[in-house]
Amino acid sequence: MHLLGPDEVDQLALGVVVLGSGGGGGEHETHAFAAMLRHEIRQSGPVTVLTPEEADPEGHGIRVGLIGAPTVMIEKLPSGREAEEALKALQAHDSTPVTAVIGWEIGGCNGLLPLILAARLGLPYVDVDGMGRAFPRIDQTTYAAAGLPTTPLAITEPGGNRAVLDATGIEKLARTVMVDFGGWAMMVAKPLKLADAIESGIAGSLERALSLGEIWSREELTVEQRAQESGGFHLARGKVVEVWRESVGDFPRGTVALRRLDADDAYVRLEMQGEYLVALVDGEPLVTTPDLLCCLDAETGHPLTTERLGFGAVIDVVALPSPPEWVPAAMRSRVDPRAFGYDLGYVPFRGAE
Amino acid sequence: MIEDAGSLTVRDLLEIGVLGEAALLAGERGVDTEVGDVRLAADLTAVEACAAGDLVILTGHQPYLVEVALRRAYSADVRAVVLCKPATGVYQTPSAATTSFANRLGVPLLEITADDPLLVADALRTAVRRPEVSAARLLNAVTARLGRSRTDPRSVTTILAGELHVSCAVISADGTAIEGVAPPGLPPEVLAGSVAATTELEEGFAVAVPVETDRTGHVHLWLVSHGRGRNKRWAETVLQISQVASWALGNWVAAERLEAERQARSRGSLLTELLASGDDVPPQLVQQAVLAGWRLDGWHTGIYAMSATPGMLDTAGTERLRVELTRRGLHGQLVESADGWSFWLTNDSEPPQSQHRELTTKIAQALGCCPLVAGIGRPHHGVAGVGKTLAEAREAAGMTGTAKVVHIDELGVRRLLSMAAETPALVEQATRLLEPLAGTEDGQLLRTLAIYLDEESVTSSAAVRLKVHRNTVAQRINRAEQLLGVSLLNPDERLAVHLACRAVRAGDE
Repeated sequence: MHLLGPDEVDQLALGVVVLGSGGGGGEHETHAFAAMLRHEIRQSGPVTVLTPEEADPEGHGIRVGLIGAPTVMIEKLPSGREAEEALKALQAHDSTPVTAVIGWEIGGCNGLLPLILAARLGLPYVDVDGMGRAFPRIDQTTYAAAGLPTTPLAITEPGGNRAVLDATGIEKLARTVMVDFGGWAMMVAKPLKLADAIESGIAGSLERALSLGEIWSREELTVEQRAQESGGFHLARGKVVEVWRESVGDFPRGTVALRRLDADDAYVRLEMQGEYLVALVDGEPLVTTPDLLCCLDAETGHPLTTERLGFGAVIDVVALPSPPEWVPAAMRSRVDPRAFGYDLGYVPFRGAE
Repeated sequence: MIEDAGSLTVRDLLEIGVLGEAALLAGERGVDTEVGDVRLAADLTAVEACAAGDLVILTGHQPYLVEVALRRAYSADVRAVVLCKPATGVYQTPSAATTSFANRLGVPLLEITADDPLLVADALRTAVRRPEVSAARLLNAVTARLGRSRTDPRSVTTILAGELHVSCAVISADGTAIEGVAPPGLPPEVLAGSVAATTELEEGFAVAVPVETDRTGHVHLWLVSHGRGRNKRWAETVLQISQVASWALGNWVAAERLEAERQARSRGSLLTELLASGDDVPPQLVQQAVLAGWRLDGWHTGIYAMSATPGMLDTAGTERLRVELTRRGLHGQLVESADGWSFWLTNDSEPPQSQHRELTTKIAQALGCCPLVAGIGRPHHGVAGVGKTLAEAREAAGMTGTAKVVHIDELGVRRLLSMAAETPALVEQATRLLEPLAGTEDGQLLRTLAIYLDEESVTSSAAVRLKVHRNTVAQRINRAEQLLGVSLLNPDERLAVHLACRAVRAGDE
């Protein structure tokens, strides 16, 4: 059991942004939720974080997540009550008593939302989530891979609109509703029995986020050292010489070329959608999703999301291994490059070179 | 050197135009490698399957895909990666990062504008694997277009240039380009030969094919195609197809010549009829003459040119003669006949006598160094005048002697008279004979005497010309007879006095 105090919030916020792999909301958006979390903890006391072993397997955990564009949230501010509203709406359809809050997507600002809800509801948070990083789609969770239900799903927005969706094609429906709700919305999905969630979920992701947050806030370390400490490696330092984005299909996609500053006449190419998904060096895919790619401002060391990467920026590219749950071939097909439309297979994480 | 090997290199493919509008984006270092086969790759697995010597047409264009394909192409010794840019729709031209990578690898990266990569693959594969089929297709296309088109030089060169992506010119043996532009640096000896030849040029090669050869084997007209590249087989294909095109051109030359001949013949016979009809020209002949562009009214001055040495008529000279005459401001009708050319000028009014010397000079200049002589007739009026003046011209042409151009007035009696005028002894004798009249009555007696004799010793006719009474003429003649001591009733004395008058007058002029 771990009591998450207000002092750990910043560290956690940095950690979830690193796990966001360029997506799920960057520093700006995450900081807003971090402030909210700190406020809740100060009001209601620290959040109890239970390891999967400590949790009551017979209890039920509720998931919360944000759908849409985190950048829109800067203009359309959250009221802070969206998650509770959604839970109320859901409970009108599914009366399973909720005993805990579990994670859905640890990467990006969705990593902090369950903790805010846990603090408000006075429930413990069980350290398990469905992604172990950030992914764009609702079905890209180990929960879904294990056949656990996502619906009924309640969706709300700050203006008071709420909807409860029960559909097989939940992804498309939820996104349609989200667009009508103004660009982003809060979702709460059907509670999962903790035994099922723990068995199929990615355990210890909050702990990983905290540890990453600790490592990446240590300014005395070089970027190579931080990468190594995090279990990954520093791929390249380069200047962005080409950014190309297009909006076809459901998600924006783009490609970035970096001119390497640490090697002559070589380029690194990053393929991105919501997240950084593939890194190629001289036409060879070196790091592929579900392994993580983080781009950090070379000067400040701050993580840069895909939408904030601009021409001329000098950045460090760091690769971190995927949560091991995604690596088996059966699981990978949901999240490997082909799942994102790239004609590339998964390249096993090769560690530091 | 033009390579002996028949295999096409990437450069050849670019230059012979099978790729259409293709751009080499990067990897120029690798363009001189030979291409063994062509593959169409829809995904990276297909790229993976490529073997050494292949050329890969990639249907995707995403930067990562292109870069991965380039890398795999490099490791598998693939010769080039070709991207298809659709005329419409989404396409991303490879960025600097991608081209820089291709340059580093030395793998040529090409971009072609094509909507269907399959067609590109088919065309390329045929060009690479079955060049004879490719050549046959081109030949097919060229002959089909030649069949539908006119076969004049412009159309033929346009068709050849369009199908073979070469630049074409029709060049005469002296190197003048009748159509198109001669390839820069084309050695003149190529055009001096008599058979089709391929020459290597600084940029690519030139193929010269004879279009028209005379009986001595001299080639008058060449079809020259200038192609890029150094591939021998391609040069042969261009040669073969140019050969076929040259036949079409030869056909055109023959047809044009026949037409020219036919026209010359019809004009010749029209003129013959016109001359034969004399004063009474039938209306249908007038109509034909008008249709031929001949003007029958006005004053005609005929000129007849013929070879100085009989039987050596160069029929090709008609056009040259026309140009030479036109250049000297002599715009008239030129009609070719069996042994020479009839030419006549038409004026609204009777040309002054003074004109004929100028005309003689001009004609002499126009004939220039050609072995031709010419005669000039007197101006005659109307339809019948054409015949008269040409008959005179012809008569004069037949009696040129040592001169190149002779006016009819210079012949016969006038010539005899002018000869007399040119004989100093005779002039001296005449002057002495007529001396008693010189200075008498202000030369009036001498003038009256000359006119009286010209008018056949008829007093009244001379009086009309002199605008005096005929008694005055009679009195003056009496006085002159007394002064000279001759009797004009005596034929010998009359002739001598008449001749002396002419000689003196000619001498005065």
